Amino acid sequence: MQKRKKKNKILPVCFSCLLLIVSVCCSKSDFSKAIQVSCEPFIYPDYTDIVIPPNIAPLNFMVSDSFDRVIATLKGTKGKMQVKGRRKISFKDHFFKVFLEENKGDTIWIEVAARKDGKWIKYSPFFWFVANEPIDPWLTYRLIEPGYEVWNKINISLRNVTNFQVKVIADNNMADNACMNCHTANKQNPEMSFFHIRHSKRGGTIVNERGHLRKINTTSDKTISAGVYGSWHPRGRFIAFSTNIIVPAFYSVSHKKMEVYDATSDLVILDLKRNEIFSGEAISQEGKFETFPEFSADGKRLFFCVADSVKLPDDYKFLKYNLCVVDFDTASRTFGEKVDTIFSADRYNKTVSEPRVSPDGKYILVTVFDYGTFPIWHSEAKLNLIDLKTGEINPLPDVNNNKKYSNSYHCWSSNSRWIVFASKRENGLYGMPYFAYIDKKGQGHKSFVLPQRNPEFYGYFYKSFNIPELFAVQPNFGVADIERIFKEPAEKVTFIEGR
Amino acid sequence: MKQINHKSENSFWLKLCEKGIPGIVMAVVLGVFIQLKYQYHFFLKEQISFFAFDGQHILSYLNKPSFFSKLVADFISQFFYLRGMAAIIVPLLFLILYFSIKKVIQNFSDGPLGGFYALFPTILIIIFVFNVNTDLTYFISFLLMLLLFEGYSLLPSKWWRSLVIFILIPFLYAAIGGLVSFLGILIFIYEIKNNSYSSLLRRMLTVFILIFSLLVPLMFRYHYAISLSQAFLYPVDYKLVSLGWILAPLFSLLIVILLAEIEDQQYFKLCLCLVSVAFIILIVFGCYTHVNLNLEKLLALDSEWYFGNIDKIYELENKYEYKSSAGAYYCNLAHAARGELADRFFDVHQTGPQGLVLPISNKGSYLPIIFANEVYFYLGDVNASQHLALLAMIFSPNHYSSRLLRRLIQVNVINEEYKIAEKYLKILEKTLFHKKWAHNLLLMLNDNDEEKISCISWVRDKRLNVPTKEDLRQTNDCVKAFELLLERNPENLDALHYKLCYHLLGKEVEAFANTFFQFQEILLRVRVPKLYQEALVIYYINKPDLEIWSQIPVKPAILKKFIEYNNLYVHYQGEGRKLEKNFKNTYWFYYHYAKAEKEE
Repeated sequence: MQKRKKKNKILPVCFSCLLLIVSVCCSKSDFSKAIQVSCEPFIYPDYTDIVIPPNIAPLNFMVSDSFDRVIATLKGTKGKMQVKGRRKISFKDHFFKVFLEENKGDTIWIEVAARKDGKWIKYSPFFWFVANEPIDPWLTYRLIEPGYEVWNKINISLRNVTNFQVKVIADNNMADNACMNCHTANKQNPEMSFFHIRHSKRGGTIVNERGHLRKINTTSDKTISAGVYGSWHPRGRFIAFSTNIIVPAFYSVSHKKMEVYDATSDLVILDLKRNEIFSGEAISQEGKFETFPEFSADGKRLFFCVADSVKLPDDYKFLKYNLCVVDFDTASRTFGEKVDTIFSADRYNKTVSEPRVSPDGKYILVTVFDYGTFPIWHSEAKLNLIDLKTGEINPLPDVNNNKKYSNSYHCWSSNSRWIVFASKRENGLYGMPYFAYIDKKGQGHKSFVLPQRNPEFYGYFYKSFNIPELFAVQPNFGVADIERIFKEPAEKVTFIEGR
Repeated sequence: MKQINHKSENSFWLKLCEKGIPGIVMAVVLGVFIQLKYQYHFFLKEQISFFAFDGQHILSYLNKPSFFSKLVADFISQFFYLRGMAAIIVPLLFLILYFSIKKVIQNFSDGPLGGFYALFPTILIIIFVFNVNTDLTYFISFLLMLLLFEGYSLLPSKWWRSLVIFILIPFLYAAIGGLVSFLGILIFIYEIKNNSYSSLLRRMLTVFILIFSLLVPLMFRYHYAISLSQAFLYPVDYKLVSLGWILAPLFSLLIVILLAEIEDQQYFKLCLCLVSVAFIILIVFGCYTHVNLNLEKLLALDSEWYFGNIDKIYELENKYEYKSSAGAYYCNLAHAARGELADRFFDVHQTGPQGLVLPISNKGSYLPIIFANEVYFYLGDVNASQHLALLAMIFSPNHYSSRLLRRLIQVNVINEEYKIAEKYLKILEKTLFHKKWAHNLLLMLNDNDEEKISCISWVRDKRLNVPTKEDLRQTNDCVKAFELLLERNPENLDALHYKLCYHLLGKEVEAFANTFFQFQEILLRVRVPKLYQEALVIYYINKPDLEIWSQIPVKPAILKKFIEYNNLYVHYQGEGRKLEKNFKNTYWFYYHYAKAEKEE
């Protein structure tokens, strides 16, 4: 009897305790005494006041570790959502997706309140404008150590930017530790891409044509090297390549790390149909360094960077590249006689590299910096947008909103509204992929970093994101395909004298 | 069949084996050996490994198979940081493995010699750990594999036991790597031995376990992006250690299990003798291959330099004769730290310019790449040091290193790249033995206390020497590095002496002389080292009419000795052996007879 009495007393007590715990956990935070501050919260990553695609993965962020509780309230024209956390705001994937979809074309205001030493602080809201245009859902990038001239472990990873799924699609561990680089998509034909495997015996350019892989050895007796930087012709038959002797060199000063220059370079075109490479006078002149070819959106012109040769390495600071363009006729495989200059190195006393034409043909995005051909180690390197109709150069101040460290290796989405680029803005050594919206008027909006499930991710990640490339369609090859093709012999090409 | 009654045999040796005394004795011997002769290998293992109490770091182990073995191995390796810990930890691991193997053998036969048999696989695995290219991961995988087998044998002998292991195999592959296949083999043999074939289901499950354990590595290799051989051999890198040594402990375990099985056979004693002899030969050969006492002496120099114990380096130099470039490199560094680089030039077996600045290559051992950054940091070319430290991280077996991380932090603090220094410090702060150093530095950086930061000795000293001229140079172009350092600070005596000695080691007397003339004001403030005087004499003999000789005194005694040397050289028609006794420690002898190793 006494035991039963004891049991009867214990149960209500336990129930009350449970109720108390639940009520404490679920109780509404008391904001009545919250301190309102007039500034926006300092969040990491910085996702304040940005334009975002409607299909982006949740933009999880965190506040400083001096806070112990944070609440984010998202208010759109169609609905509201609130998320709480200790220091991190992590959105549920599905709810976030739905919320963005509902607020497409509209602005979402985010109010952040954080608690410090028992006191709540309410910050000024910041906004996310949800663009109507989605971003290409697939992003590939190379993960490498920032080790400059050599490599050991490299892989090409594929990330779904609408969620947090990542997989490795090529790993040099399965290719005898060969270097892999320059995975480049054909924007007009998204099922086509290529990248290089550098290996003394089994290297080549891996061309992906709708899932069918080919390995092509692009070296020949008449060219300087195998193909390096490349660009697809929109119809997919040609790839323009630079051929370069790349020389890495180093600084001993504290504020610079290295310089990479071409001892010599030229351009060639690879004809995938005939396995031939050819060149032309306009793109491989004596006494000039031609590099970074880029076909126009309609394939009728070839943009490229060109500089007068200088004595290297002594005069490396005088090495400045122009951006030029020449006509290209696909039927006859010939180049025009006239080369036009789009960006003059002399006029601006700058150099330009990595031209990428928007798929709609309206703009060309370049990296502009003080000298040389390799912007990634130039802290002043910034993206510039050139209007191909007017020639106007837009320095994209909101995209280049970092004062220090490089922005480079950019790529367009297939709808010409989004760009991705590699930025070392966080610390000068490790590159991270940043997105930015380019509106129809050619104005760039504030850039933001690729979201990760854990907002602390980049703080503890010790590889550099390199050569980010957007794909509208998932690249349909994987590590097994690369392992197989690596073992196969490469197709050879014939050099045809150019006209 | 002749039955041997074990109980009636009270052999002392058998009793010892039963109690595992051979293993205990071996463990003690191991501990003493490590403490007296091999501790520096284990210091290096700590330096090129990394364990941080951080969620993201721990999750990164899941990217490859044997995540649990690697995690445990890295966790244990961090304790090698402490002097004497390797001599405790390694014998302890040895004992755990030894008794585990003994227990496994007992599952097959309860003979008294289990304690003897268990020695062989244990020693073969421990030998593995002594290799500079390996860490504890394979050892831990092996141990875990045995413990899993033991756990399996302890489960009730029901049909579901096999089903449980069948289901667990993929997870075990993730946890311990390719040794899961060997676990399948052990289980298969065990089930055969225990006649568990009474039911068809049991038989089928046993076969499935074996097949599945062999298939799982193949099934997962694309997920992990590893090659076919790596799928079965993970966590060992067969490019660093030969396949034979990887498989030797596994085969030895099977052999001793077989031996235990045939104890009651007539031919057992013969087999035991033959197998024992074979194992002993294998172990001796294994020790010869993996236990490198010469390398230990070199690692002693490296570690003591890392710890800052110059006295100890002098002690080691006097105790051992270092004939390699790496040995000369550290001895020269120690001499330079005491301002005696030129004075003690011939106390070291000089191997050429690479005895001053190690050239690096991505072929061959990773050790020179780890060593190479030290001299640049010492001289003040911190960028070069950072570059080499990053390369060393890339090419070291684990691709991360607590020691190199510290170096990267130092360089970035010196260069005022505080963001990147903070990034490294945050992860280092989550280690056990580096957290205090990291925490103190992080506090200073967080407070933006530039005054305090500048007062740190290695910051203050190096910032004075960091070059400011934006000339470019190649990785192995150390002469350019010296020039840039001297351009920044002509009073950087270390860089100056390194440049002078570098030219001398490369027999570039003219370059040496030009450098000397360029910095004569600084060099003539103190006594000119005998080495330099001897080299200047060579230049003087060839160019006696230069005006500079009026400012640079060449001691008459040196000149006299040179004439004597020259006369004898002619007299003996260049036969070096006859000149060695009196002139071995002169630059002239080096100039004529030393073969400077060519850079690869």
